[in-house]
Amino acid sequence: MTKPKTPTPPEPLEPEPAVDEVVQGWRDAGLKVEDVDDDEQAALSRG
Amino acid sequence: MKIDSRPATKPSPQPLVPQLAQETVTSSTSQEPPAQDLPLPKASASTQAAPLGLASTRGVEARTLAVADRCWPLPQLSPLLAGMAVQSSGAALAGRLRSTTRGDVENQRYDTFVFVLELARHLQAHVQSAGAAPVAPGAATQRLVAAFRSFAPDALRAWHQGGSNCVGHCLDLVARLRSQGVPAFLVPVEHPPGTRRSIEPPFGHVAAVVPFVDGGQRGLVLCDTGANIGEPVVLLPSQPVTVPLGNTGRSWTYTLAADGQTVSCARPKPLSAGGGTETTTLHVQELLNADVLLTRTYASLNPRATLCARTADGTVTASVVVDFERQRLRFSAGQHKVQLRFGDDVEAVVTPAFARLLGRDVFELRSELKELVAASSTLNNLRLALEGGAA
Repeated sequence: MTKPKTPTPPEPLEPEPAVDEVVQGWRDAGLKVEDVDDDEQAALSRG
Repeated sequence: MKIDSRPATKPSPQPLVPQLAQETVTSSTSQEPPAQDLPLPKASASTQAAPLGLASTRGVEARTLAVADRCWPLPQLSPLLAGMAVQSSGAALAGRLRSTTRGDVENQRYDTFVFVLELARHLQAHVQSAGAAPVAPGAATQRLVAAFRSFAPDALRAWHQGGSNCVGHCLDLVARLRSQGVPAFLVPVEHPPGTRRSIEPPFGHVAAVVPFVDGGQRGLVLCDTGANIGEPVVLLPSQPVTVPLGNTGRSWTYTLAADGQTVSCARPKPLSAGGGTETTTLHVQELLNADVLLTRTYASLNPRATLCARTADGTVTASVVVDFERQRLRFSAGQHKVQLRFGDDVEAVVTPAFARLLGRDVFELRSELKELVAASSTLNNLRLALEGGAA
């Protein structure tokens, strides 16, 4: 008896990069990483 | 180079669930045909509630005309007719809109890069076509202003390419809702007095609204996706509704006026501007010429071009701001940022991982940033010319 074919699992989607990974990359590159202030963050939502 | 080649890097949002249109039709007591085609659904004869949004536009037009140096046309406004409303409770209507509006905020970027780039290329094409012949003093500036006058950005097209301003976000939302029989409208928002530049029109933002009638009570569901707000906001006259702004710890409070003509939005002023509260005013009237009025000025000429990705609750996950006045680039990922001066190498900041946070191709994004920086002096010259009265 032939064994039933196991379906090939789908290719995993490329995961979204974590923010931490991006920020660590900036630090590793010697860039000056600062905290975003509240004004700057809120300004991005002012339409 | 045309911007049309920009690929949409995120999937298009799913269409609105069909139940909404079905409910709209079946719950109506109107004798008119089902409202799945334009023109929009007619009023129920039994509706006795006072209509919304019948205010005169004269006040806005007067303020517009008072600006001598305008580089935009008069706003074209149309009252919302009394009958254009979904017969539903506000909560039920918002529940059916929620997945659409949240999906739009999460899957589409807020992007004004596209318009600034398009303007820069448009100006460049005009300059090149004029040739290298010597010109009289001031002629080059006049040429820039003339080129700006013929610039016609298309926010909806930009939206379909993966990111747009508030106009593109809301125009597409309105079109999708209308195609399903839902009477949705693009409405203009006036920025707080004293906060706009001379070259900016009276309206600085747009949102989408869907009027509803619940028994004898009229209200609006407000969809402010261009301001990163994914939740539909149910507004009843004189009842303030407070909406959190992502993870900023700040919130906006919307209030539909008792007469139904306007919606005020009280929001925190920047701490750098002294803090406190400022108020924007949404006019409950349909804005018919949003692109030439807003996209051309607020988006294309904005001294801070912005690209950002958001979560459905409005938290900005990554952003790039090109600040033409300070000649700086600001990049953020989560709560962290890096700043560069114009001319600095962007490759260490715009990494493949960072570009993916923004749903963009890394090489394309680097190239756009270089192009924006290269265009900064031309764009600044145009702004100065328009603000100085050359328009």
